[in-house]
Amino acid sequence: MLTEIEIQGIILRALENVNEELDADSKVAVGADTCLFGSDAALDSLSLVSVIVDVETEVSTAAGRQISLTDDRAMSREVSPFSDVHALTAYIAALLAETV
Amino acid sequence: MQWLLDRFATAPERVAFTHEGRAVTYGAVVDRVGHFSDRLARHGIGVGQTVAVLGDYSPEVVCLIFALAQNGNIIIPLTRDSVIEQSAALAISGCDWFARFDEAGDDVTITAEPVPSDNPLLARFRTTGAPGLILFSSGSTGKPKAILHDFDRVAEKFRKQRSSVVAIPFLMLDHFGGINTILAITGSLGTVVTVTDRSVARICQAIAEHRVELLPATPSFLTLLLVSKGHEQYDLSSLRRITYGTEVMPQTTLDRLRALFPQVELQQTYGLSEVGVLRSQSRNDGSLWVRIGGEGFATKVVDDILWIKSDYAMVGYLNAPSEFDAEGWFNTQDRVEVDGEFFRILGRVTDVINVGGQKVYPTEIEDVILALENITDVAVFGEKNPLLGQIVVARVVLTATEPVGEVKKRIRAACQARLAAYKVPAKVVLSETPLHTARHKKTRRAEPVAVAAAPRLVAELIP
Repeated sequence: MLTEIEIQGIILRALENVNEELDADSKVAVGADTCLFGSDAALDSLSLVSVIVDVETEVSTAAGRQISLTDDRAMSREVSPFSDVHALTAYIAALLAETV
Repeated sequence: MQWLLDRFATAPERVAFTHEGRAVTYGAVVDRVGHFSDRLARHGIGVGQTVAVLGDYSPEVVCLIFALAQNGNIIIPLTRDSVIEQSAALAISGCDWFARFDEAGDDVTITAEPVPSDNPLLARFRTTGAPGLILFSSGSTGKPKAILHDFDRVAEKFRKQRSSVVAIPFLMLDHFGGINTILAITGSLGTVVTVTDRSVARICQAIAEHRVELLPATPSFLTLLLVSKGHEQYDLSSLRRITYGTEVMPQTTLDRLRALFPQVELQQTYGLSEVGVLRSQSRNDGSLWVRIGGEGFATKVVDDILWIKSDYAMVGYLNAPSEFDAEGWFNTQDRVEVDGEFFRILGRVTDVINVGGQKVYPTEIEDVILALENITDVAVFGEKNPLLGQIVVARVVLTATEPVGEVKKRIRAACQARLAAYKVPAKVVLSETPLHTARHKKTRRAEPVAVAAAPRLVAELIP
């Protein structure tokens, strides 16, 4: 079972990967409060999708089961799991806590 | 058809086939066609009857096909690794007789195996008494489409005799390109060199051994040839021309081929089962620009899509509505760029990936990735994504082991440097299995399968 700290580590690494690709002046401050999606988002949608794909892959590998972060469920939640790193971490932890 | 056999008879000593170490002359071909004609008569196989022929390349398989054409039959060539299930195929076309060749392709057993069909197009065609040719494509929906051609008309394109060459047929006989190649080579009294399998080593060995001059191939095969360095192990100096078709050629593969084979003419070909294979000439600057057309073909471009009108077009689909418009133009579904009289083929409209409303052509991205270190092959395709509609996925085969994270970083960096942001792959997956089908055609799918959809582009050989 992945801990929340491990999950957050995966998300931060994915953000750092994207950061490496960005120009110096458009780099994102990477931390637990980094806003992912919405009007305050630090990332454009293409970068966000790349981050999500990375996180999905990493978490699925580490947890040994496939998870989807962009299915209807994730997209229709009242509080978007992509609002910030905290929210995404909590959402993934909740997904993994469910019995399959 | 008779004109072709008459032409064979003018060069009885010349070698028509080199198959499994034996040479078969045009004189022997004429004899064999006669022998098969006698057998057809003994079985009571009459004009207009449908005959399925199961077998891979061998002189005898080709001779039986010629005999059937001369006898006015409707021929359904089938191969053992056919893309379409035999029963599904014959349920569409119907069948009167089944001719099965043994594995070696020498001996044939002909039996009556009626599968009824009341297809109106076939019924109308039978009244003409012309020989027919039925080929199957798996179609874009996966439902097989049966294509009916007038065999005489297909052969007619080769009545004007061209210089003879020694060539390896690459596409199989159940494919329009395969039949087109056989007619092109024998129509000019050249030599057909058959190979038992289409591995790089086997093909290179055959080129060296039989001094093959013309190699019609697919870009996937040529990419594989370069990666596996077949040209270093075998003497390929006899090659005069390499033609490539059925899919879009990566510019990087073309550049490498030009550098390695400076004496070889590289020619892109273009054709479709529905309209035949057009004559083509690549621009001589090493680019992918090509002039296509030739006698009996007309082209036009509507909204960037290529349309073709052809004297050699199919009679029609047996099980689908005609895709020709009232004036006889056929929509190829291939998107092209135009520069004067030259075209550049960008790929099938159906292969296009739509990322947030922006169109992405897989080949453009494959080109960039293929130029990177440690990449043997790549297939780019779209995957559904709720945020962007589709995302770009690159499936790669590596030369040496490398962590997927590292590969993705390199791929994204290279694509970001050369392409618009929306074209950069969001996902990179490693593949353990080759990305092309057993017939050396690229599989752009989420999960590669052993046999992919039959190619729509069939261009193979245009001497």
